[in-house]
Amino acid sequence: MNPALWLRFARRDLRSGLQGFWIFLTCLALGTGTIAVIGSLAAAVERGLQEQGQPLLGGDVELSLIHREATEAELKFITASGAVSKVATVRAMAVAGKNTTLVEAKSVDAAYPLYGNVELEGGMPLADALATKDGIAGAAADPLLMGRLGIKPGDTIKLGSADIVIRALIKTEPDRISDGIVLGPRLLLTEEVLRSTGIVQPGSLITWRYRIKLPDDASQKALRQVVRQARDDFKDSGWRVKNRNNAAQGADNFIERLGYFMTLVGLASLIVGGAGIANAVQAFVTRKTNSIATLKCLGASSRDVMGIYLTEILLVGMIAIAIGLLAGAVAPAIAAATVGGLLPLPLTSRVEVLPLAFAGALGLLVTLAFALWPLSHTRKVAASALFRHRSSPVHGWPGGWELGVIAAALALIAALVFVSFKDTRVTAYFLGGLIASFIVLLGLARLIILAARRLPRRSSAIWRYAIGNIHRPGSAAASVILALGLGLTLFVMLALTDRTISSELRSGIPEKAPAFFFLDVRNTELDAFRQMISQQPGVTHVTNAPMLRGRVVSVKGVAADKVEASADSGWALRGDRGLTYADALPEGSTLVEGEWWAKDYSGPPLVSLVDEIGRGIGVKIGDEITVNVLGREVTAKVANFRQVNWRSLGINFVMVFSPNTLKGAPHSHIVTVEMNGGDEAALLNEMARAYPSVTAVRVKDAIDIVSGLLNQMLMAIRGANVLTLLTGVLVLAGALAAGLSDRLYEAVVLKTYGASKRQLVGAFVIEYAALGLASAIFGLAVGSLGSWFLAHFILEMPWSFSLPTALLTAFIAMTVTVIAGLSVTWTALSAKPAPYLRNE
Amino acid sequence: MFNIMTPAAVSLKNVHLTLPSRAGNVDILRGIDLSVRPGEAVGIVGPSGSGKTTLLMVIAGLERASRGEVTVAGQSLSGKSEDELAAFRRDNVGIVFQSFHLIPTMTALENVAVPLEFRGTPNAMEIARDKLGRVGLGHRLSHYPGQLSGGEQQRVAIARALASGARIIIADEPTGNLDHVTGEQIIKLLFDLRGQDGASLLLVTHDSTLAARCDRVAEVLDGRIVAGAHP
Repeated sequence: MNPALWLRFARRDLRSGLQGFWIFLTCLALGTGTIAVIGSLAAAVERGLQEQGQPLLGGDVELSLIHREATEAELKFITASGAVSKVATVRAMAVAGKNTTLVEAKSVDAAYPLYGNVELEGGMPLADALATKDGIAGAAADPLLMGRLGIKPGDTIKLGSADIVIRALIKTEPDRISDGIVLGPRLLLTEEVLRSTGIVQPGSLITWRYRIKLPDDASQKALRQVVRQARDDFKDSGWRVKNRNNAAQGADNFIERLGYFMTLVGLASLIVGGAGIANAVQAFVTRKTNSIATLKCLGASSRDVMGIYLTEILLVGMIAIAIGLLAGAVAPAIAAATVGGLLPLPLTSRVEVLPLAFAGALGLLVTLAFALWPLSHTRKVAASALFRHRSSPVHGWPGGWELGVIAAALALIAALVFVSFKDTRVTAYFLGGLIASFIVLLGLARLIILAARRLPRRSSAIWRYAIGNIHRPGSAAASVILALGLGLTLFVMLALTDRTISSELRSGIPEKAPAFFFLDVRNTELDAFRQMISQQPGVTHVTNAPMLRGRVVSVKGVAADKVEASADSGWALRGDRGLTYADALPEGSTLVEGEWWAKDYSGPPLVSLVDEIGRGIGVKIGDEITVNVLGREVTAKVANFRQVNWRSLGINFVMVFSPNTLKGAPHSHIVTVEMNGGDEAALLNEMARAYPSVTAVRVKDAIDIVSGLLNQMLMAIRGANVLTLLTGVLVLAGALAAGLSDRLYEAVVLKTYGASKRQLVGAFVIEYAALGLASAIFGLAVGSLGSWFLAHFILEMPWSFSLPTALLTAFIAMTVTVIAGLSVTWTALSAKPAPYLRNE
Repeated sequence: MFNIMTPAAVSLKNVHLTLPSRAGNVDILRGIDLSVRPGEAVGIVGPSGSGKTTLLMVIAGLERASRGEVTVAGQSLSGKSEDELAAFRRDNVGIVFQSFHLIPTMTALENVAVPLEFRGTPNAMEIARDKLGRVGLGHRLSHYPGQLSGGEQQRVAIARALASGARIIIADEPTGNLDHVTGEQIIKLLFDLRGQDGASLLLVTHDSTLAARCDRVAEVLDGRIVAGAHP
């Protein structure tokens, strides 16, 4: 072993430039770059969320209560812990003239914000904007509210029963993101004004937030101490405790999942690019046959030859990886400088080392895994080739140690992916699918080659030549099918996933979906409210259910945060959930296990759970669940499991209690209204005037918000698809280019013996179209399966298949193959025999 | 002229080479006997397909004899592994090809230094520079093969063949790709240098005038040496 010698020879060989390495470089740089950029951006956002934890949360610790304010004992603890700011958030209806809209009202005190600054347009101080002047209360609003209500700053709106003047527009609100999904524009006002609206009533869906700013020198230890005390000493309070380290858990989770999905697509693209790397290295070895044979004639051992060319490939690989990593390193800075201001998320512009190391390691391992096989062919190049005019391409299995290194590299890739992502089930499916695709594609390629060999001889010379090209030694069929098949599989999978999401967006509102949800309808006004709304034009159906907010405290005696829940059910244990009670099985639900309680049931508390959530958190019929409602802990036995059709958009809750459990607690009702025709805006206006404290959520608006999120996901998928196409075409071009010198030689010989260019083009078209068709069929079958898997298990949407998309894909595949094939081999088709034969 | 007791530089006894092909086994060499003395120049002639090139390949350890005994530079080649044969060539054999076979990405100097570098010779570049000077290319050290004429490339190849002090030079049609005048110059150079270094030369050629300049001519026909097998 002489690594110094290998490096010297490899560097000499590279002095002449990187010609012949472009496909290798691009495939590897593209794959590594994608992973590096995605990883770096996700890390930059996560770091941003972490570093900005205090302003995002509005304090070091936040204790939030739904329905009620803190008790005296709780307040004593809160004020003893540090400086305090009290904030309340509630959804309410704002009215101006004939226009009504939902707003996210937020009352703040003089201490708000404890961290960061609220910036108002025109530079007005917040206190001035919110002050009551000449008997009229002031507020600051999101500019969006101006458009919705057709007003301008200085105009007056009605919120509940109070008149409020909009004094300023909000430019920045530091703690915006920690409030979760918002359905309407923000309205900032004082607590006094909020109370004067009449919205604050027992049972209203108000969240009271107490933000604590710890003393300046408070360490993480002190922070943990306060958090622990809040949890342990006030177990019964039911408050939700957040701290600066998990200020925006929801956004954090979303970024993590999106990053995870995109990284898997990037990895798939890198591995498809691996096929391109393998082809490029095979072409490289073929190109170097003479040099390899010369070195062997001059006394180089096979190990030295392998060492030299492996070193060279690794050096080129490192250039490609460095390009990819550079893109990843500058991505946060570029994103922060260009779109940073537009994003709702904080973004740091620092270089993120860990994602770069991850991408670099994957790039290096993929290079090793895919380059070693063709590089092992250097061992088989015979020195005696120099005495012959043309040597055959070298193929075959690598030796034991090369196979060992390839297996180790693949295992390390899998291990890295498993270690980096939490969702082992999806990762396992993804990697399994990828490996299975490789194996099936290689098998398919062999089958096609075998079938081509067994086909009866045709009288047409063009057909014979075309079919012969598929099965002759050194044929590119296997690599073309592998490259194109993998590329198309990804393409079809993403195209159909795109379609699934798009049709979900289009069919977002089911035929019988409600037009409105009315929240906070009080017990005392329920009957009158129902009566009034039923008489509105266009209203066809009205339903209602009691609604409270509560938090799961424990499951079978185990604290909620210690329960080992499945990935898709854990959310039910976090934060506040809507709870209800009912004496009969709710509409849109089907009982799947257990029994529903009697109408007049008065025994110990019972609860009905949604089937998949119940199983996900590991409970059986008869197990106990404890929830905290309005500071009171309620333990109920699981009586049954239900299946719920969420897509009906009717009223449904994860947990439905027996009426005797919650009836005594102060609560409001949720009312849904179905409409057929009629003027939604007029109804909204009418109801908001009559019931100012009731909040109306227009289903179309809510769906638009969700659609917006899904649209962002679609953009990501389309971006990924462009990347996949690019990689696929590159790999295809590489696969075809690998056999170019053979094609050139054959074409020259055939032309010498009378074949016309037209005949050669005909043969190439038949050959490439056959390979394209075979890959398309595979890509369609496996890609469709993959998209079904994604739709069913990850997106949880009904899978959408489209025959036109499928046929179009097959057509594109064949056309791309034929065009790529002909353009790569055009040199061969156009070659004049004489000069080539003279050189030979 | 030669000391009868000096061991042969090349000794082949009853060497057969049979290669498999789709049409069945093909006997390329059929019982070759050949001995070459140290410093001797042997021209190998014969019609196309008679087995001349294959004979050179067997001597260089690039093909393994199916039967018989091959001893070169005092070493029996049978039983040597591929890597041992590579090391044997590096230390004992210099090859000059018809198509030069220089490595296109290396300069003339680096091409000549290759066998020395594989042997781990510390002053490889100095020796290579000296050898290139001897073939009249001291001014072309940093030129790449593509920047050299055919004659110059073959001179580099000769310098490379002699660089590691090989005792046996094998040349396969060394003037086949050159015009007459350049070919003459190359042959003169090859014979002069070989003479200075005292190396044996095995020269495959179709040119009878060129063959006649050798100490002896061995004629190969149908896989056998029919004349000039021994001194």
